[in-house]
Amino acid sequence: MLPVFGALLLTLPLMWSPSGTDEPTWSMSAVLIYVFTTWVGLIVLALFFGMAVRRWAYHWIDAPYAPTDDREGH
Amino acid sequence: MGSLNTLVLVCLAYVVLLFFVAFVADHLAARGKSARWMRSPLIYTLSLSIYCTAWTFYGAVGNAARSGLEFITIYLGPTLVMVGWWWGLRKLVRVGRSQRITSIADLISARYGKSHVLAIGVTILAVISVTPYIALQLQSITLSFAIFAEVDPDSRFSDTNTVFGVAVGLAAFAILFGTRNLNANERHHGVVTAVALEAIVKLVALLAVGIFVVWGIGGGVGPTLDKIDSSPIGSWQVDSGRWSTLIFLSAAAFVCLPRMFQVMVVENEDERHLRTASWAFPLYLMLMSLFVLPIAAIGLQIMPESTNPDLFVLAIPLSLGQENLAMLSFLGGFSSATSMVIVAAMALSTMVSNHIVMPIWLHRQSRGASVSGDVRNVVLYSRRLCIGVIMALGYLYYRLTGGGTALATIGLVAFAGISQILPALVGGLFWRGATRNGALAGISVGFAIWLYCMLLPALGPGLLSDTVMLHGPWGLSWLRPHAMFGLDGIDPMVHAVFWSLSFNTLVFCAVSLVGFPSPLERLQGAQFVHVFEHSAGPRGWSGSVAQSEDLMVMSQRILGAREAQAFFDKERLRQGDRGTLPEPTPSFLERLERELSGSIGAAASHAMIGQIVGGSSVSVEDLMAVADETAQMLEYSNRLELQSAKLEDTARKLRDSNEKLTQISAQKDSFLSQVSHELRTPMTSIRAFSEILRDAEEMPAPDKKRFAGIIHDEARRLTRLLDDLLDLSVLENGQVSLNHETGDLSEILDRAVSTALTGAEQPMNVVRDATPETVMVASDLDRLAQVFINLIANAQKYCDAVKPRLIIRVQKFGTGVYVDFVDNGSGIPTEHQQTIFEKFSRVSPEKAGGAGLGLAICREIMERLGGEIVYLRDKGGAAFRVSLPIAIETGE
Repeated sequence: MLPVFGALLLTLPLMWSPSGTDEPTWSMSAVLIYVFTTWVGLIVLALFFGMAVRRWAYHWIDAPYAPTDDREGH
Repeated sequence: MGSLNTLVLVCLAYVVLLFFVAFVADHLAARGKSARWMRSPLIYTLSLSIYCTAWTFYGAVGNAARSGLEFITIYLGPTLVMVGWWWGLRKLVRVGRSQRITSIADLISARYGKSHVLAIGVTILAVISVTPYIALQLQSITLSFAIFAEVDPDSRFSDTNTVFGVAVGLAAFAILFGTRNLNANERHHGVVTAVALEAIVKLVALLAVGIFVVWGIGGGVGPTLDKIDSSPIGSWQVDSGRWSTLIFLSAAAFVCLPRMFQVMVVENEDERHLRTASWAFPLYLMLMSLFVLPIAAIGLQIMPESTNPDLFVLAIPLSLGQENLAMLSFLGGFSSATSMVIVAAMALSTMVSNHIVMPIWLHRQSRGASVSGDVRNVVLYSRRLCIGVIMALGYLYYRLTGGGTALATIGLVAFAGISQILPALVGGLFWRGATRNGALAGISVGFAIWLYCMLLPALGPGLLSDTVMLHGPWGLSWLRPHAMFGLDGIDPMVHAVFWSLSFNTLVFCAVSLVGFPSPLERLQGAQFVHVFEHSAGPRGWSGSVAQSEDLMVMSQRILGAREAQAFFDKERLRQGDRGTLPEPTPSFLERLERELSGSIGAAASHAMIGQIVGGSSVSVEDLMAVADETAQMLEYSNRLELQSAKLEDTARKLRDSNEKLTQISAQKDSFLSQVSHELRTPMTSIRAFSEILRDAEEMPAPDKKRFAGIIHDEARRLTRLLDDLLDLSVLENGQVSLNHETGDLSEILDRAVSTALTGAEQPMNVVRDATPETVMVASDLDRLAQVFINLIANAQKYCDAVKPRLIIRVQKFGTGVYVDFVDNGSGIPTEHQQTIFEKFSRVSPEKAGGAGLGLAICREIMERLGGEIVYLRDKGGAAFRVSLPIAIETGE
């Protein structure tokens, strides 16, 4: 769900775009702040998701060809 | 200050440092002592940063200066892909690892039944679309040299020479780095570590410039934001089509780019690294783009108009006298370019050598893999050669386009080209119905449209004339490269991406749906789509005849003597340490094939083992052939089964008739004894009474009369019996003469009923319905009456009900009439129903005095009269149906 949610958030600025008129538009700095805030939000969510995966799918990696041992990553 | 010379020196020193790092890392890895940090998710994440090339480093600022925030889409796409790793990338990496995939072409080929054609197609597509990208790196390095040359008063800077030098240098670099060891799956620890180092350098460089610009020039965050707003790019104006297309495109390219595939899938040490990378890599991207807009805005403000915005990152520190910062920034750009070129060249050369050079070479070695020359060297040489050729292509592209185009535009051309793989890739991973032909057709169509709408126009006006651009080829306006099918007025990039990917996907799905995948494709499709359910090897070898020595010789040539020996030793120990070489068990062959496929690709290694194992090999195709044969045999056995069922049926019929025959024979026997008895009883009494009459001289007259009467009766009985037998025999022989006439059915029935019941002690109740009986029948009326009499007399004789009753029902059908005789007795037992119409058949001999000829005679009569008599089951009591033709109204 995260990528879809993120994609929606990131296409949101499109609606602020002026449609050919000379109306007062959003300033670049505001959009900049918005985009970066969203970005950070996504990163934090991904971080939490990664931690969650670690909990509920402890053994999700059972690749028989993994050349590394299991000492790391846990 | 000899700025340019210093720069070259710094570059060289930096390259030496990279070499050193790579060498140490390789060395440690080879001794199996690779430090923990070398295998950490951090290195993996950093190695992913080759996504950020010189295009990012220089081009992003240039892009931002030209079109505002749009540059950021290039980083948002990959961010979304990484954030959704659980759904997509995890599967990709798992497939890549379980199938020992060496490149994106290998992956596509393996998914679609190890198709060589597809592998070659993807390889060519990759080479064509990555070439502009490599040209881009050449251009950026050259431009950065040029800007240093501008401030260096005594430089003899030549554009052409620099480009050439850079190209040669990068090629050498890539060859030395990338083709040191052969097995692409042994993972290039050295390269990855060096790339990670470069990732840090470029991040630090860009951050340093950014911090300098924001706090050194801009005066803090707030004032910088104000400056951004007041700059020419200060208002939010974006083409929504471009915005979303670019996000999508960069996401697609992130997955499909050969170099990204190389570091993300091939060099992946551990799937769990994805978990870390899923947030760390977006973070890296965010940091990389954090200062882009400020640098662009401030650059536009303070730099002269003539400065190329692509080089603001360098030009700003240089113009403000920050030589060291500029140097760091230059190193950042240099890092971006070199790491990208090395990995891209490595990935491409692997693809080209595995899918184009090696198959051709193997094909030419008709004597077979085990006796051919040293494959190991051939592979390495071909890869080196490929790197050289790829760099040469990049150089040519640069010369051809004149290096004038903005960096970002070139990058987008490459992105759109490589994204043509996406439908086949995603379809292959998630849709089992995807077929080789579908993938091939989709990629071809997408590629053609991309070539026509994007690459050729980008190559400059020389290749597509203005007429074609404005009015379409041959004057077909709907084929204009920037307005296909009348879709005019949108951005050319969006236009090309839209049409190429839509048609690509459409054709891919359509062809896949129409066609049917081959068995191997279906198998591989299942392996890919359900990779988490079974990560087992994809195919089996049966090597009972395979020569271990031959395998050993071949493996030595591909893996190298020591590695092969080690591999075989390990295998021998695994099998329980018997003999000097391991037995070629299927599992061993499978492992060996996978090992080899790391060097020369899945299809080639499969083919090579196939050559050695030879006739005894059991590939999936063989298995499928066997399966087909099995299906045929199954069909054959089905047919046999059918025939045997028929035979059984016949046998059953035979058995039935045999049973019937036996029954008849038994009946005949019993009849004979019955006839003898019947004949004997009257004979005896006739003899006895005639003797009495003869011998007794004085006998009273009444006695004499009585005895003579008995003799008379017995003689009549005998005559009747003989009449019946005679009648039947005449009927059976067809010698009977029939007297055809037309009569009323009800009259015949009247006569029959009265005749049959005459003399009966208790005549049974006969129920009739007069209306349907008034029908004219054309027949031998006497014979017909005989049949009816017989049936009625039988009912009278055998009906065992307390109040016996016979229903005679007449009903018309078609051209005839049914006459049913149904009584209310217990009927004829089932075992006798079959034989009642046979001669000599009697249901209960003890009860009736007849000889069992009545019904047989009836049947014969009805046959002669063109009718039929059958026994009706389940009617309550005994039920016979006589069917006979009715008279034609006009006739006779």
